[in-house]
Amino acid sequence: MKFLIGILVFFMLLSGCSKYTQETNTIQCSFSGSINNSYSKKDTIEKLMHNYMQQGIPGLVIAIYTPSSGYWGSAMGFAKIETQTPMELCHLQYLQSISKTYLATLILKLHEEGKINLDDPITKYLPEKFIKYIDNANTMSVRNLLNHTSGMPDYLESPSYITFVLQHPYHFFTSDEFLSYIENKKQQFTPGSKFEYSNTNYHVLALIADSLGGNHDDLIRQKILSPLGLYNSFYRNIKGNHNLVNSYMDRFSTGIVENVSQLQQESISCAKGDDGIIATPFDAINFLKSLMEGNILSDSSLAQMKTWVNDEHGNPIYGLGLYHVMFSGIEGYGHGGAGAGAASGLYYFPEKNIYVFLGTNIGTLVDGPIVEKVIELKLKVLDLILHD
Amino acid sequence: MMWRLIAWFFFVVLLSKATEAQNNSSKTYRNFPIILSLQFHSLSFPFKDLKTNFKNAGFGLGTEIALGSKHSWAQQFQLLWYRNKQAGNGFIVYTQSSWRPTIVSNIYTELKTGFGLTYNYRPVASFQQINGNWESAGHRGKWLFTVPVGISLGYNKYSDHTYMAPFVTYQILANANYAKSVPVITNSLLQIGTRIHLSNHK
Repeated sequence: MKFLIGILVFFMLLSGCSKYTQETNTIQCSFSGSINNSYSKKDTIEKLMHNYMQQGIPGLVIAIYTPSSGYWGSAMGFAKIETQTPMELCHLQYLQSISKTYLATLILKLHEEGKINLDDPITKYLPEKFIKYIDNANTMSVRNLLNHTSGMPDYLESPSYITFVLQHPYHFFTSDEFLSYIENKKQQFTPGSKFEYSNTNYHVLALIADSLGGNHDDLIRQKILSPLGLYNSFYRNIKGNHNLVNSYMDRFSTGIVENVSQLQQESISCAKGDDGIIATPFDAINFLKSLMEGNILSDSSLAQMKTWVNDEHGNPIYGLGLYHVMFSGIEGYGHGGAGAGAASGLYYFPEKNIYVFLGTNIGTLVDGPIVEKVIELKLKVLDLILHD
Repeated sequence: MMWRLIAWFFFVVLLSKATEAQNNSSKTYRNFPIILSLQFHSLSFPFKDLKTNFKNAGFGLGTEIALGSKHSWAQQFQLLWYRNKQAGNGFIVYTQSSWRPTIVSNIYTELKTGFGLTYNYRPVASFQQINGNWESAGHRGKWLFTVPVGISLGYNKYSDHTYMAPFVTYQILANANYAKSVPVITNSLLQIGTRIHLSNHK
């Protein structure tokens, strides 16, 4: 009996000695663009960032553009903790759900080209093999998907999806697999009656774009990234890019982080429409700036993007791929993004004519003390930037 | 799949109640057998991803004591270790009350539940910032309160001498306090093992 207990204790001790790793290669880089180092709020923002970096955030970047001050940005912490590779403005950040703004832009481009009518039912464009997964698909319009008023359940809310991802961090999900998580689930409300954020909406929009143009990946590159010269922006084909940051997660909400870079890369590679863009901070800003300045879409399309649906309190919340936000009492448009191993935010504040990007390589999907600090820092930085 | 398995289990239990036969368990059952088991662990939703329940091996050691004279109720105590490269290794210590009706002859079913603790290691090395510096925290894990619920099928070949009672069990473990935004996470175990009732004869 003592022998058996001894064997069991031996294996329990061995449990802490696995050599399994999720690290990926991230190289040191140096930012070659020009930024305005005399930006008036540089010192106060960097001091604030520095204070928060002492509280467990692996790496952080902030980038700003205003017509009067030009571009400014700062990076702190590590792009990869294991090799002490410093975070730089040249590193690629995960944009996570900000990718929805890119896909919405593509759908509106297709609309301008007469290839899709936003108020048609999705069943007109979506291949039959995917329609079978969606309850009452014929009642949902393309616009309902774009502004999250379709009532389609979110695959990301499925507990069996979360456990499967944690157990199979390298699994590449197909669209059928993603949609199987909402199969047999009822439509949550009558389309148009309510706003309820759902990643599935944008996955289905990507499938619609595929059915219209062959491959929505190529369309995003051909119609958005290349014409705007966003050469440091990539969609889904992210593996092997050594400028991409490593990703970390506080699995147990205890303030201890572990590397989840391979899980992160796999989940971004197989995402469609609801995620998938990686970019440098200034490429992200230049995308939103081009969009807001009318360099991608017509005025009419942009106006549709900024036609807001309201939340349950009657306040404007979401347009077509754009959130309507209020930070420190100032109105903004943009999107946030949260993943297993990264988080970001990209906003334009028209009243101040300021563009802001914030990115970190700690995942905010799993809440915890570090994530609380990230959120706190975001609010303080935006408050600093938006007020004199 | 889940409903089919549950329906199957209750069908078997009803059958057992209808056909429960006299047996000689009260003569030969002995408390504190050694329970040895081979485990297959999966971080999965109940009755989902069943393929993974044939990977991630580990093993367990336990014992039990009968509750009452008919031995259709028992209290089990188990210590399990499992290896799970992707989701993190771990060990589990728990106790379960087991209801064990006989189906026919020496074949029995089992329904059991209880409570315990799981220590879930991280799958990869981790880091913690202390005084502004990143320091290794190894695979340090977390204790999770566990509620295990299991169904089994087993075989009792009673004997006055040492005898084995093999079984196969499917357990669902509800682990509380996994993370702040994941208050409960489910794991599952496929267990194949045997109770070894040692002989009374010295």
